[in-house]
Amino acid sequence: MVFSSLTFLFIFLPVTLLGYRLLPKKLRIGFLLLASLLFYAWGEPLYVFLMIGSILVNWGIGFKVTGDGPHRKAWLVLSVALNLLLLLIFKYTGLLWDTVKGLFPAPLSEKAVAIRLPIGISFFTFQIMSYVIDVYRGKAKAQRSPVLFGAYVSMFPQLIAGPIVRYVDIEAQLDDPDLSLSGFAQGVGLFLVGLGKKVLLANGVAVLWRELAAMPGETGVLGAWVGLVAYTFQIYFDFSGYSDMACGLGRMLGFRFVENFHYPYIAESVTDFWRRWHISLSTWFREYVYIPLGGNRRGLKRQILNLLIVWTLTGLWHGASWNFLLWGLYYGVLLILEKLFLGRVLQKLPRFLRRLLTFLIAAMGWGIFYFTDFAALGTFFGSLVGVGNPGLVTARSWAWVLGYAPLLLVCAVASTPLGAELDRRLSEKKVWSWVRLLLGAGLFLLCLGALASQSYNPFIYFRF
Amino acid sequence: MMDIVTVGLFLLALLLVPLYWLLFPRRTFSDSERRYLAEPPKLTSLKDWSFDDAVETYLADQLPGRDALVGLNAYTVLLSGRQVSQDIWRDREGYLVEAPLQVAPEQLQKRLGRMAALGERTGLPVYVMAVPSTGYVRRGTLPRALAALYRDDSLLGQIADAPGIRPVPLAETFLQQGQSWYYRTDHHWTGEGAYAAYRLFMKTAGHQALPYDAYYHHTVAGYVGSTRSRSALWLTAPDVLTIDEPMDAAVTLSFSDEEGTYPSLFFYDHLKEYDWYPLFLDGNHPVTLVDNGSAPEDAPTLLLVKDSFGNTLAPLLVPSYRRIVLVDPRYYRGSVADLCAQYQAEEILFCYSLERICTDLNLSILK
Repeated sequence: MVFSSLTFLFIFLPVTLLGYRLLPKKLRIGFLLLASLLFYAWGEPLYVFLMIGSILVNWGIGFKVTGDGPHRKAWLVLSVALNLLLLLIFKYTGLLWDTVKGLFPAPLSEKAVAIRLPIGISFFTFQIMSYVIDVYRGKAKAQRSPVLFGAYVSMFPQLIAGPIVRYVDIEAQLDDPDLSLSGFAQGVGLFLVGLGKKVLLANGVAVLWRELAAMPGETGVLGAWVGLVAYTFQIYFDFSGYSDMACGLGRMLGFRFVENFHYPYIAESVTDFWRRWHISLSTWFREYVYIPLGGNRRGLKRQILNLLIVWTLTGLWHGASWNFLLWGLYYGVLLILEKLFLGRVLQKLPRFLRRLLTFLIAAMGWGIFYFTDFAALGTFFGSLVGVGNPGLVTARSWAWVLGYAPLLLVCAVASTPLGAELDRRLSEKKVWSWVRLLLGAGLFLLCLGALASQSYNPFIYFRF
Repeated sequence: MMDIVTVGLFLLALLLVPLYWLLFPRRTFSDSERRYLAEPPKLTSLKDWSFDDAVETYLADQLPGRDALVGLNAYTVLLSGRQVSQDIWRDREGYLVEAPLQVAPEQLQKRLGRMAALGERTGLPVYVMAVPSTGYVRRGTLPRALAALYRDDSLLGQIADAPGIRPVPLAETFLQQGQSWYYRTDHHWTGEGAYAAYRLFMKTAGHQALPYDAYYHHTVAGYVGSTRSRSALWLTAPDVLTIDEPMDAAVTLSFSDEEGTYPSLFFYDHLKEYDWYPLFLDGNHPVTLVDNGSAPEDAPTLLLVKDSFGNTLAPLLVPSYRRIVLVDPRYYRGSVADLCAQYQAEEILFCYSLERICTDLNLSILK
């Protein structure tokens, strides 16, 4: 079930919110667990049992790695290995098989391996690992209640698209969620902003990208670039919109999740970009991979190796396809170059140029991210420089570019803190809170309009 | 204070919709979309994992205020300049026109070849009347970038150059005078447009056209056509439907898929329905026979292969023909050559909107 669906908005959400807030305290978290399992089962009626199994096993292991029990380390290794094995089986089998098949085609070519990827497995597996590792490190206490632990892992707001909430960040809140009215109201605001980002902006520019990507070689150079920029905005508003909705829903339930995006497109370097993009994932890799590997404390060579390891894994985490590995390494190399000398060079440029450059680097990164097929990737990057794609624009791509220019401009402004700053300044005026309420209501209506239109499908064929 | 209002309104919004679903009977048909709405999901769809999609489709169809919401979205897209992504574009004068279809020139070439072959086989003259699209004729009122996307020029040129057929040259007259020959809310031409096309055809075929006042002209206000429902731009004012009736023709109408005959070309009962266009010749039938008892002895028989544009052209042609055989290739599965022989047709006319010659004209019936 996705947040921007009518099933979620008008059936699941009202029932869950009312049940959760009205039930006595004792029953509340159990209700949330049940609702979350139902939420997951709606899209994954079989894999929900995989998740439940994983929750129970790791909850049990939690007691084995705590304190100074015997074989602590062995239990930790077992847990990490089990979790990675789950990812390996369900996420990477297809990729590995296809690769092996490519190398030894003769005996294997007939066989195909099709394992469907369980929704959100990358997210909940990482959350579970953060728990076991933090308990091992003594940063968190083993959770005695399987219900509380299950609710932490499966909590529906962050279950399928993050943010990756680390157990230590939410441990205290699980026992004592903040059920204040103001928290709920803030959650509503966050949720609506996220819904608008997803439904109005991301889905809006997605149409432009779909169109321009579908005519490689017929867009002209400008058309190809605008398409890439459209995708750059699409992926940001889609993902950050989803994160905002997750944080908003979390607030309505009384939980505060960490901020996952902090205006990544105003970043002034690649290093800065990754402090602002999918923060919960970068934090996870820093805490549980980069620092344990020694981080920057064992000399430059070791640091470079560590960065390459982290970014190989980050790339592959995003998807089981070699272009994601390439995408990860692209960033790994850029980050290393920035550490070595590029960062100092960049510092000498005017801020505007630094931002533009970083934005373009990110945009080209999304180009690598999008095309799982290397031939198509090559064609597209060729079209950015006019190879096989003559001219600046074509009549068709120009009509699309022109038509979407206003929305792209809205996306550009919405990628900056301007809106939040304006809201902060106006918030001292009393009338602003009413205006904001009206804006929120309008936003909700516009989103509903867009959702309703997806299924508007006049049957008029017989008229022609 | 604000917090309680915010939370209250949000919960109200979330609860009103499911309450509406619980309290009001479910809608089964959408007038504006002319389709039956999705049935409630069946538990059997659990088997093929499609239950969640079925629920979502069902809820979307049952959303209260759905047409208004869809309209809100349509205006949002329009006002933010993103018309190019829609099937229907609104020009500066409020006409709703179809976006150009992407038609491959080979598709047209193939069909023109078949038409010429048909003429050769039957020994009859084949006239081809392709109605240029509204957007092309009214391109001066569309944003320039959108107007540039119509390819009618090259398609019409292809028809003009095609060997073995006799094109009816509508484009020039339509481009010069035809800006108002289309409905604002529908993709069809108006009575005036049909009459202009009629005159051009009669000239091409070497017949004498009747003057405009040889017809009764009826009008019905409040006509809402296909481009309005497709675009959901609900604020577009309705049109006035024009009906041109031959003054003295003793008409008998019959349909290949129905018993009985009718003494009129017009079926006013359809004005009670959402879609008025079947008023002309009762809409679509595989083969429609129009006999004119008061036609001159030597009046010929015409085989009219057509889409719905032909339904408003035919009444204008009635006085000059003893019999008109209308064929709708979307419903007729036989051979056009056989029909020509069966009814001893003396002329063949293809009347189609330009782009739909390529997309809708079924090639197999031209064999």
